Parts: sequence; structure tokens; C-alpha cells
Amino acid sequence: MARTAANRVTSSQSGPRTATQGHYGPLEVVQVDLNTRVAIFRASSPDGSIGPESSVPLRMISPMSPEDNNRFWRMLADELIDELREEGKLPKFFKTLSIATGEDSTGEPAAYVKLFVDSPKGAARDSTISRWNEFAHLVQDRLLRLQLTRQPYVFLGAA
Amino acid sequence: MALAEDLLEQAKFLSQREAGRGRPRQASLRRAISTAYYALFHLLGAEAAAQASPVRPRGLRDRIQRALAHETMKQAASAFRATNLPDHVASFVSQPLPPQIVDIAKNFVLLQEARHKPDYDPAEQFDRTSVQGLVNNAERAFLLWEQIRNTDDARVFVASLMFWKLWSK
Repeated sequence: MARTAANRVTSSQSGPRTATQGHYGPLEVVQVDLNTRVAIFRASSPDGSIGPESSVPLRMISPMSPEDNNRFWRMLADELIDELREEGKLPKFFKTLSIATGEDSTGEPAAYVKLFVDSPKGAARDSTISRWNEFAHLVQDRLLRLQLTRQPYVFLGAA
Repeated sequence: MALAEDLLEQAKFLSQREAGRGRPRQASLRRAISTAYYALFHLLGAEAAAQASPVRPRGLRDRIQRALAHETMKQAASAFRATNLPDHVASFVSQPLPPQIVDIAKNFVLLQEARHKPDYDPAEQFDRTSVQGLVNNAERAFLLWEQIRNTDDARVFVASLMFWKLWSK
């Protein structure tokens, strides 16, 4: 189902904890698929045993804590970057990204994605900034397309 | 629209200040972000007021522009950015929405969110790259607005910025 297993949580790792309607017990997300907009999750227990995997639409994932929210959005962002790399749309100037989740200035749930780009010491040229922004818009559009409750804001930053 | 254009020019000037002399001053970067937002706010606000008000009596249009609320504008722009419009608005616009309007809405929402930290959080640090990116977004919105400002879709967009909450009644 998923495009790649590169960002999959292995059996020895724990994914972001989540609640989802109709499923009970401690659950954790192990993989996200942006094309089908689906999250794969599994039941887990404190002794390390893990249950079978199920899938639900991404929008039904409700991370349990602020930290789980960050981890879930990190999964989404990492998967998106891999997807763009495979499509040949990952520019060389992009270095890394950071994720922060919380509430935006109007109190709505938000995810802040900062794309760090290789930038000059002084002011950059307009054409360079436009290229950076084209990439930032692409990332934001792909995240908006997921139609999640948490609204994405994508900014640039100096690597 | 002279005020909006002047603000955009100032935002760009501030985002490029202190180039080549070490790190730019935080005050320049902060004001650049805020000014870029206000440039777009005034561009769209003036259009909305011009659409909603006659020229005379003098001053009426300015008074109407002052009635614009940041939060209402953001709510409207957020709906346009997500191309998720309620029926009472969707019935007035083209389907799909022109990409210029969606793009302007995205930039408005992003700039409004971005300006809060420089305006209110003294601990936050800014770098020139992020600031130049935001100013560039405002410039892009101005260019796109020129392309579509005389269309029905643009008229519905600016009316939404002004009346979004009232329309939802």
C-alpha cells in the first residue's frame, strides 16, 4: 500500500501514539502514505509486544500529546520529502527541515514547517528567493492536499 | 493603492538592509515581515473598500476600510487557500478557482501568521532568508493581484475578506 518503507517505524521502535475512532488500547502510527492519505497503525503494549496492523484515513489520526503531534507531522514531512526526491522535485538548495506543532495566532491547530535552504551570507537575489519559495509552496500545497485539521504553515530558514 | 505599494517597497528595503556587514539587525528583519503583511493587507483592504463604498462623501471609503478585521480576513483567505468554500460563496466563483486567487489567499494567510512573532515575541530570532522569502511572497501576491483584480472571482474574494463572518449568518 505505502510507496516506500523508508520512513516506516520498525518493530523495535515506537511510533507516535494515537487515538482513532473505533479502535481501543494503546495505538501507534507506524507508517503514512500520502498518496492514499492513509496511516498504518498497530496496537502496542508496555512489555514491547505489538499487535496486528490496521489502516485509517490520515485525517482520523489524533496524536495523544504535543510530542506525538510533532512526531506524526515529522513522519508526514519525511515521507513528503522522500516522495519529492523520487519525483526529482527536491532541489539541491534544500538541506533539512524542522517541525513544530501548536496553535496559530487565531487559536487553530497548526503545524509549522521550516525548510532550511543553502543561502548566501548577504541578501539573496530575487530569482533565488523565488526558487526557494516555489519549493516552499510545493511543500505547502502537498500538505494542504492531505486536508488535515492541523493547518500547515511553511516557511524558509537559513541552513 | 500607493500606501500598499510603498509599504511593499519598504519591506523589501528592510529585508536587504545591513547586507555584507555581518548579521542584519533584528529590528530591520522584524519590521520587514510586519510591513510585508501590512502591504498586502492594505492592498486587499483598499480594493474591498473601493468595491463596497462610493468615492463621496470624502473619507467614507477610508472609514469602511478601517472596518476590515484581520481575523475575518484570515478566515476567508483560509477557505480560499484550501479551496473549501461554503455554498453561499462557491456559487459566485469559477470552479476551479483561478490559481492566482488561491495563491494570493495562501500568501495572505502565511504572512498574517508570520507577522505575529516579530510584532509580539521579543525572544524570537529571525534570519534574512526567512524574511526575504516572506517579502517575496508579498511581491508575488501583488503581481498576481494585477492579473486578476478586474475579474468577478477577485470581486467575490475581496468581498469575502470584508463580509466573511456576516455572510455565514
